[in-house]
Amino acid sequence: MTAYLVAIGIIALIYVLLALSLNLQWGHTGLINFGLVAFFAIGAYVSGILSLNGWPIVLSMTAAVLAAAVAAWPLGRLTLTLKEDYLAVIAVGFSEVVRSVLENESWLTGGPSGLPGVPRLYAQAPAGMRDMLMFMTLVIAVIVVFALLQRLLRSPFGGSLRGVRDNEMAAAALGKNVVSFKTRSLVLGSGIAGLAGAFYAHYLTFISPEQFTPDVTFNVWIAVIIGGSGRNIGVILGTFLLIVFLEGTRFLNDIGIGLDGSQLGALRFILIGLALVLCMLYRPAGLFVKPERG
Amino acid sequence: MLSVTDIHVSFGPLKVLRGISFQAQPRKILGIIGPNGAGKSTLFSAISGFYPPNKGTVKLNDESLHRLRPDQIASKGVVRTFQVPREFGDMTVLQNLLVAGSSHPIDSIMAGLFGGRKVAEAQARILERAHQMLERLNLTVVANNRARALSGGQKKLLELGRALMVQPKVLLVDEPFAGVAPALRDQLVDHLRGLREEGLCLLVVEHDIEAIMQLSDRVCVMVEGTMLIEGSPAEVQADARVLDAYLGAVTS
Repeated sequence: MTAYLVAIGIIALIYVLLALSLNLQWGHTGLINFGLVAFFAIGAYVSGILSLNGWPIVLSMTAAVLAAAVAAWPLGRLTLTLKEDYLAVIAVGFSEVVRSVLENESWLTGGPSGLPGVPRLYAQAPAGMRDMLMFMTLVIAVIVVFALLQRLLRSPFGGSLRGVRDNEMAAAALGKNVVSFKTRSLVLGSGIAGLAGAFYAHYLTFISPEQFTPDVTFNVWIAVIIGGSGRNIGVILGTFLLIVFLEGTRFLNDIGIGLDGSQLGALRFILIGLALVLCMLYRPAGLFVKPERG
Repeated sequence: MLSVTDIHVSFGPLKVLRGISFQAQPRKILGIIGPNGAGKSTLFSAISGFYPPNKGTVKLNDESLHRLRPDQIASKGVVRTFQVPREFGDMTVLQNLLVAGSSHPIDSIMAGLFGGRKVAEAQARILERAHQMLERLNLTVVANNRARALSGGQKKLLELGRALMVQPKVLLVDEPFAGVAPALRDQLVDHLRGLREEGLCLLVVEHDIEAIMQLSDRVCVMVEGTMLIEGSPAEVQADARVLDAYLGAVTS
């Protein structure tokens, strides 16, 4: 049982990192990043490939963060000079391009069959302890990322991001370089998504392109919207709620609902959709944000 | 001093500004009036870099603002407000002012993460200026309200206050009196006069002719993208062409 909870906890914390990344980009900067999974994938593959080539995991994970951040820069430069909604479209395209590169460049990525045997974190530790150590490391990583983001978002930089989010033209008229602020937010958030990807690769030890479909992006969006975009604590709670729900619905059959796998999958989507609609109707600012008028 | 020389702005075949020239001096208020569609707001957008002119130059004290982005022009000290207030709606009134007051490098990532005493001191100064601004514009009672929830007049005041937090040399004010209650209007006139005394160069676009004549040191009349006349309020009021422009009649 503990092992199962630790396993869910690890996945949840990886998603928390993704949600914090999206909350910086969407919640505080207003960037519609529908391609988040691309940076998650880049982080996973860069760290996976480098560690398989003998790099120490600490270095390969650092490289993963940098690679994901660097990959965001040209995307930002290309799209953020255009009007706001182009990023949404181009980011989806970008994430699909990344996935097809992963599928087709077999010499590097293993192609559709993926990369097996990615080294684990704490491979030397006793088998029973590894996941617990991984979990603890992720807790620390989340705390560090959370603290840094809180500090940054409360600083004038955060204020300028929210100015850009609330009214781009006004921000520019007041001397804010809108494209630069958006690009910095996109790059920073992508670095965090890359970190999440690196943890993911070293936890599962096997990565393949089908783990990086747009579902991941939209699950994170759901977590951020339900939790309340703009509030990091709310977003973390929203992520846990989503993961508990996704995991919880696995046990629907145990209480006597006779559905096969694909029916269960469809039912989950229906329930998530329903939850989103109800959330939009009754708590549009998010479940964990005090509703306020005006 | 802001000098505008022969600027043209077109949107496709539509020529909105057709050779506008004028100079605006510090410690003066230059009023710009004209009928709807004369190109007054476009003129502000051309000066502030939102619609880069197709032709012509804008200079601040002999330094060209040509091809600079809006944010660069604002950083040089030429700051505009908008006809329809563009408040940062999800932020409080105080936060709106703080965002405007903190310029590069105070609002960089490095300063945010690792800023030491210097950054903290700079932030404290900005906070103090923001409180003075709230006081000055009678917005202290709503300091912690969301900007979205303000009244139309209060949003106008916030728009002005936010522009002033940038510490401009030249302030372009777009229709400060539109939709503002009479009581607030007199206050606004006083504020604008006060800013003139502090040495600012003010350009004010306004529909309300009475207000602009009362306020301005000099007045420009724009018609169909050109400058019809420029002169003292008395000269402009005495000019028959101005009436024509407003009434749409053509006299010979």
